[in-house]
Formats: sequence, C-alpha cells, structure tokens
Amino acid sequence: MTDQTNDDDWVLEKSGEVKPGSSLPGALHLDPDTHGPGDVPLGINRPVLITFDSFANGRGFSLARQLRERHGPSLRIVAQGHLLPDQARHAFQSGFDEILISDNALNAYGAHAWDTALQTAVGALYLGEVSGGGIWNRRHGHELT
Amino acid sequence: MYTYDAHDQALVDARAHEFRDQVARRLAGQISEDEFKPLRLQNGLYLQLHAYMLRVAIPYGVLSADQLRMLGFLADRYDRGYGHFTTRQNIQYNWTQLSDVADMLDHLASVQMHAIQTSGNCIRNVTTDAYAGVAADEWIDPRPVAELLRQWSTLHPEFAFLPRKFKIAVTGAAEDRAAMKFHDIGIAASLGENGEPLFDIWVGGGQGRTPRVAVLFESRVSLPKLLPVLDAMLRVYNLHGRRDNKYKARIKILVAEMGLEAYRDEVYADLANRDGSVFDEAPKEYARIEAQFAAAQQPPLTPASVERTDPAFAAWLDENVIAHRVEGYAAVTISLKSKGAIPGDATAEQMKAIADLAERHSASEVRVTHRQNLVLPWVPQDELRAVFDALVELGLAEANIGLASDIIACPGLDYCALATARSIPVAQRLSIELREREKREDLRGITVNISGCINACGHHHAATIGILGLNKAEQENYQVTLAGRADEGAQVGSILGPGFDAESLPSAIHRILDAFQALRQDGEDLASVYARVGKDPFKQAAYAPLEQAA
Repeated sequence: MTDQTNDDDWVLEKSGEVKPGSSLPGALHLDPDTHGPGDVPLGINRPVLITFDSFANGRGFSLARQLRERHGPSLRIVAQGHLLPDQARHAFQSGFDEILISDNALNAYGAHAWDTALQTAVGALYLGEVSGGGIWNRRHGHELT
Repeated sequence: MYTYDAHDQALVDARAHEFRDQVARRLAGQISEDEFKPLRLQNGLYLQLHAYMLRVAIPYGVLSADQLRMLGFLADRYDRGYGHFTTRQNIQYNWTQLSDVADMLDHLASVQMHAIQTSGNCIRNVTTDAYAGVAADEWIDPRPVAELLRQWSTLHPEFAFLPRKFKIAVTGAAEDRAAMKFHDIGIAASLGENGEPLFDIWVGGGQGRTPRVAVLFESRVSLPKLLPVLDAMLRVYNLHGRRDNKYKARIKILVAEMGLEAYRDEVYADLANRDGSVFDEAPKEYARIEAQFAAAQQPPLTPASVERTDPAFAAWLDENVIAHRVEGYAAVTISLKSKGAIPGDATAEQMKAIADLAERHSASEVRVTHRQNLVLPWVPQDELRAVFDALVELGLAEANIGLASDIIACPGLDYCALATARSIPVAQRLSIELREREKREDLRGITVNISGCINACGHHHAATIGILGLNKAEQENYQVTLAGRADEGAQVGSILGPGFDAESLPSAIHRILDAFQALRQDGEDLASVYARVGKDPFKQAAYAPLEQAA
C-alpha cells in the first residue's frame, strides 16, 4: 500500500459525465489482490484508489462494496486501471464515486463509449444500495431518496 | 408461473439494448475480441467451432406455450431449424450470426425471455426440479426461491467478474431431480414447523476435471437470512477464489483449500460488518412471487380411469407419466431421446407443436428437465390418450424416461471448441442399441451420460455409466466411469480402467450391463451392486475380450 499521485487524464463521474483529469495527491492506493478493508482506517479523510489490473478481475468491486458498507458515504472511493466502459455501471453500483480514465483508455474505446457508458447500461437492478433505489424497494413502497 | 411486471420488462429491454450497443462497438472495432468475450459471454454468446452459439435462459426450466413457440420461431429464422436443450434447463442455438443476435434478444424480450448470464464468470441461470409444483413427493415449491435468486443475481454488479462461473440449483422434494449437490451452491428447501420456508445451503459441488459433491454449509437458514448469507458467500469467493489457474478457480477448490470452517468464518465475518438493510424487502418479494405461482396452480379434477389395453400406450404411461400432487392430473415427460436422436435436440416444428399441445392439454405450461427432456406438467388424466396420440404423430412418444437410452450428451466435438471427442454419434449409436435391449430387460435407473471433454458438460461423473471422450494420440478414446449418482445420494463415479475406442465402446457397455444383470440381487440399482461387489467384476467383464485378443 503506497501513497500515490495519480497521473490519469480523465474522470468519469457517477453522473455519467467525463471531465478532464483529476489529481489525487495523498490518495491511499489499494491493490484488491493483496489489500482488504482492514487496510483502510476508520475516519480516514483522504481518497482511496483501487486499481484493476485486468477487466476480468472483479475483486475490486467487492473491495469497494466492503469499504462503502464500513465507511458510509463520506469515503471517496476511486477506481483506476483496466476497466471497460461497460464496467462503469458495475463500479458505481458497487460503491465507487469516480473512475479515472487514462488517455490510452479513452482513445482505445472511444470518447463516445465513455460519454455514454451509463446511458447504455442497465441502471435499475432488483437489489438497491444502502442509500436506496432498486426495483424491490420500488415494488414494496420503501424507496429512499 | 411467474409473469413480468413493468420493472422486469424494463430491465430485460435495457439489457437487450445494451448488448446491441456492445455488438455494434465490436463490429466497429472499438473493442477487441478479448474485451468483447466476457461481455458476450455474460449474454450467452459463445464462439464455437463453426459459428456463434447463443444460449437462451429458461429460468428454472419453466416455459409458457408462447415462449416455447418463440424458441421454435428463432430456430427457424436464425438457426438451422432446431435447438438443443441443455442439462441446465436452457436452450442453445448452434448456428447464429453475430449480426442477428441483437434482433434475437429483442424477440426474446417480447415474450419475457433473455440470455442474461447463461455463460461467463458470473452467477448462471438458477435451476431446479423440472416437476416443481406438481411432484407428489414435494415438500415446498422451489420455484419462488429460484425466482428470488434470479432477481438477486441478475446483473449483480459485484459478481459479474468472478474467478469462474457459478451455478446454483434449488430443490424442494425428497428426491433430488436437479443434481443439487453437483452445483457451486445447492439449496434444499423445506417447510419449518410453522409453515415457513427453511433452506439447507450446500457449497462446493461441481464436475469438470475435479469433481466434488457439495458439503453442507448451514442448515435451516431462514428466508430473511438467505440472501445475506448467499451474498456473503459469493463475496468471499470473489475476494479469495484463485485467479492464477482457471482449473483451480471454482469455489469447490477454494473451500477445499481453505477448509469449510475457515470459509464459513470468513463469510460470517463479512456478514458482521454489513448493513443488511438492502435485503429487507426480500421476504416481501418472495411472498409476491410465491403468490403468482400459487395462483397458477390448477384446481383439482375428478380422477379419470385410463384405459391401458394398448401396449404402446401402457408402456408410455409406465415410463413417461408420473403421479401428480393435484387430483385428476398427471405430469407427462416428452422424451427427446428417440432411437438415434441427438439428446436434447428439438426441431422448430416440434417446439411449435409441443407449444400447441401445452395450450390444449397442460395449462399452457412446459418444463425443461435436467436430463434434456420436456415436461407437460398439467395434463388432465382423461386427456392422456390424446396427448400420447399427438406425440406419436410428432415422433416424440418414445417410452424411455429414466431408462438407459434416456442419455445425456453434450454437443461434443461436432460443435464445441473445447471438446476433445465427439459425443453425439456415440449417444446416437448407444440409444439405438440400448433401446433394443430395453425391450428384453429392465434397465430402469441406469443413467448413461456422455461428455466430449474433461469439462463434463454431459455430467458423466454423475452417471451410473459415465462416458468421457478424450483425445489419445489423435484418436477419440472413451473412458468409462461407474456408479456415479446425481440424486440425493450424489456421488462421483469411479474410473473403470483404460479407455475404449469409438468402435469397441458400445460392446464394452453391453458387457458392463451383462455383468450388472448377473450380479444384481432383489432389484438393486447399479450403484448398489457396485458398492457391494466393487470394481473388479465389472472390469473383468468390460476388458475380458480385449485381453483375450491381446
């Protein structure tokens, strides 16, 4: 686990908007293959950066979910590394706040694919998040805002 | 049966739209084949030897007549006029074009169907007893919990990129007709003292190159606890399952390497740190689903006496028709294993005709069985003769359900890119020879399952006579296993000895059956005989002529 300054060039926000690069000085860097939620102290006041070494390795989604469950909405959880535009919804629905996109990734998949990543993805799942949402909550009249 | 509301429909429509976009980007070269692969697999699209294969989900094996008619239409329009029903109660189209798939998904969505999670390293289609809701020995209908699991697992964001595929089966009866203990997670549902559903959770079963029977994770789990426990079980697997070796990536290996107690401790440690409120609505959702299935149960009828003077009809009644839990009905199994047929294959015309039969005689409902047959679950007893006559016309009245010729087979080297040998010609030849033999002797309870490679899609490990096709020095070679079982007494079959070439395999199977009949006492099944006498008598019988020749 290392402190790291991020040098990616773009950020995909939960709103679906792609903005120019974000720098994350002092972020806590986590490798989901070797780190767990216990590596993030309660009350931490800096972002957590989780790296995906391969789009096929979904450990980062579970780690993000664990952190969100333990730390609540105040912790800023950011994804970076090898993610496809098609995985943006998985990341946000698992608890990430942002996805950092390198210039290479933006060009490889096309800016349009990132811009529309959440428009083409399935948004409403059965199970909601702790903050609300989800088809079951809607069906049974307990949707939170 | 379960009917979509606007929420279900919107989700399936959105997924079809999403996949159309993914295909368009692949065709435009914006994503590589490597990157497209997990995306297409999560929507049931494989690249096989000759073409793309689309696997369509049939959740827990339940189909309406309209849905089956649509499957026939797709076979006609987009395939070569047939489809292949699988051991996990789905259907595969072996000759699809990539450019057609998005249209096929739109057609499927129009009848509340999809191909979501029928392949890929995610939670697959949940399977269950094909006789759910109609079997006389049922404790509780497993379909409501299977549907609840379908909803929970559909597009689950955390579990879409697991170490390997993940299969779940549910049972609710004394007899396990879903091979529950050969699944990553098996769930045995029962009723508690106050009528509440309870669930025994089994973990770590599977076939492939390391066959395992599942072990009991926890018994009598309540409905409110079920999804939190399953979600934590999947999370621990996702975090700790191996990704360095795909052959060691299934949960059965994780559980074996960690030990059941350590795995269980990890699961409960995760649960202790969770806010479980996201699952609060699950019991209400279960009740909503359960009410739909209950409403679809048919009212009792006056029992009818069935004339048995026609020997062919009587044989069909004996082999293909089972007792029903509701008075006045019978459940009819339609064999897709006629002599020389490809196990599980049905033509477009047959699918449409069976859909018509279901409308006329089975409350518009059809089921797909784990053994690759179809079921008409609600046939009034006084309509059995009419159903039989119609099936004779269709060439689908083979009276061999549960007999040796009711063979399971994977597509094998005729279609599959992973296969090492052909399964289909072996199954076809054996079906002809075994069907002849069944005219002379009782081969009930013999299961013959054939896989075309070590991945074991033909469930050879779980058969009383299992056949595994291998490539030995560029020749197809067939290894035989004996005494496997897929039912509630699940066990992995034992390898008999060296394999046989394709030509000598059928005679070896006959010699094994000869030995079985000679050794059998008081109607014993093959697994019981094997447990009593061991491998040697079977081995001597199978190899004796080969040794003499040598």
